[in-house]
Amino acid sequence: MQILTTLAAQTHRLIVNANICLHQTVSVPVADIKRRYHLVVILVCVFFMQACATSGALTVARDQFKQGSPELALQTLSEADVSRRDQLLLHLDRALVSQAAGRYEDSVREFEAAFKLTDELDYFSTRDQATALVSSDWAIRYSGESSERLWIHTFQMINYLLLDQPQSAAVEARRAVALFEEHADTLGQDIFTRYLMALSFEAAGQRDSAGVEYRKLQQDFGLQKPEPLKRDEGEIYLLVASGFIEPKLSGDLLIDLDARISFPYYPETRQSLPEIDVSADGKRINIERVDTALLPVARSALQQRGKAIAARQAVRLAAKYNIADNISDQDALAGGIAKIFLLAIERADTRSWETLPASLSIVRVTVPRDQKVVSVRVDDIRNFAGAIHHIDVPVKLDTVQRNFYLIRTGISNG
Amino acid sequence: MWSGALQILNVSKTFDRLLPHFHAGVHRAGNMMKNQSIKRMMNSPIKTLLLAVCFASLASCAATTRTLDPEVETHYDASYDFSDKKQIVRTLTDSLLSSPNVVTEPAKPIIIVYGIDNETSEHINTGGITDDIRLALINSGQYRFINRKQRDNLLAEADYQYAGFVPPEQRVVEGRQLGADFILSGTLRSIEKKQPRQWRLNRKKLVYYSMNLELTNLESGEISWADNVEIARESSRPIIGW
Repeated sequence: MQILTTLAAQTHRLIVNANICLHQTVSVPVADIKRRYHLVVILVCVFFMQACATSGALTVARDQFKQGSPELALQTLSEADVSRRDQLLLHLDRALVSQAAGRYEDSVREFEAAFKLTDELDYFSTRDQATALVSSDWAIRYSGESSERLWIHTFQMINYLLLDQPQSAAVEARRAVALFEEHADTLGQDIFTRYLMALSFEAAGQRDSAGVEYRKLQQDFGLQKPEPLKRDEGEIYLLVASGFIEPKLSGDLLIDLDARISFPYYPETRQSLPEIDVSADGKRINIERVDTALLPVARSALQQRGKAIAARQAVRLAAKYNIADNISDQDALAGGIAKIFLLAIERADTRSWETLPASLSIVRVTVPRDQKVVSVRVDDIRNFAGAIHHIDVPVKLDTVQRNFYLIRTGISNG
Repeated sequence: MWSGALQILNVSKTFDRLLPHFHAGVHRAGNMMKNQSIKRMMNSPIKTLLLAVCFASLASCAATTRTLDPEVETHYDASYDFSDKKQIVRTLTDSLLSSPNVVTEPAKPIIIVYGIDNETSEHINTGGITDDIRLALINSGQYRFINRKQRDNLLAEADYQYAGFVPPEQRVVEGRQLGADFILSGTLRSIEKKQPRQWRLNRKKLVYYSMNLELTNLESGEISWADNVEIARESSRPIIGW
């Protein structure tokens, strides 16, 4: 705080001096022009310092969601005035909170907007990169990690299956296939999404595509295709989203007294999978389940981008050295201030989709078709804001053989 | 301070590997900056860069709107659009109307539409294609159609009339709906390929659409007519932009 106060005083002195120069001299000396140029540099730095944080409304809405108020969170998000840099996060948060609130159509719209935005942002923006060169990666419009881009399609598949629009779910599955082809090494471990893709293709009657996905699941994980049902049997697929993913953290390393690099990383904590039990009429039912812990997938996706982040850091550090040195040559005080500011605004871009769950599970339950309800117990007490949840799931297998049901735990009212 | 920083570094294996190169690179860059001639050379671009950033904050574009002629082929990118729909409908309708495989005289065949499966990676409303094909076939006067979508409403309306609210002479006579001769169905498929990420200024995208439509005889199960339309398109967009 003391440093900031000193800096503010120094900046103020420069501004006063610059004003005096402007008012007292008719022909402005070259030295004063340089001084004002330095001042501009400092002010630009100050301006960018304010940009180094996720938009406040997103933070508030995320807290409201985690505290168990999805409707309040949606209201906050609908009124939010979010920076263009964070537009993708706004869509993602709106979409996921809408889904948790049971507003699947709204969720579909927001995810589609997010998908289009990721496609639009898939280029090298000279404007963003130039800004990031003199400030930090926070100046770049957030375009999502490859894992987050994949999960847009994962949650869209869930939306469409719950809305009984299997063909649209299959469209999302094909979009996910394209991402898996592009990022096979990092995303391949997401077994939940891959299983959901097979289910989506199957629901749309696209058996060839479903068969391909089941074969891949068998090759990679030894997972068998579900046994065919008897005529009097039905199946319930419980899609369980549990807890909250850990946010990115900032790692800092001082290379020199006036040189620092900052990088985002995911902590090595191990988030637990929930225990899930299903019973009908007081009797426990055998279940089949597949799970994905999202943190390792997100970590792989971030590490894949590590080289690009490091390269940008190196260029930025060189540019900042250059700016500060140039200013120091002409005005030692202004150069010193610029150096401190440039060091201060070097902050890791820790933006991420923080409303994501810690884990996703598919639970297959086979029941007689005349079953009306099953009881589900989800114990995710070891996760953040976790608890034991008891949910009665209605079963409607009169005209169909398969039901999908979403359970979101982790938010305070479960 | 160093031990704390190194502890964080251990967390990120990528950075751990890159750090020695990075450190050396930064120092090399720092030493280069001490060279006055390079410094002078860099001074001007940095000022330009700062100016560009300031202008970027002020720049804005005005919104515009214009009306397009739907008959004129228009494509903004490689994705499916209304021009593609028009082409698909026109080709398939012409093919069906000129096909000798389906006899349309003296009795006009009755068709029921079972829709087109969307097996692409885009959310395409294929109902728009079948609606336009149906319209063209009805207008040709060679085919008749059953309104499958309105079946529930027809049933509800008939139930209402027979519930005592409508005089007997004004009620519809039950059991006189038309029976279909043919099922119209099809599949829209796509194959999409993007160029891999490499150092280039543009990135190409190839999209291939195949729309298959068929008319199945309800009595025999035979496919009486089938045809398809293929559309292949390449689009390119800059990788670098403002």
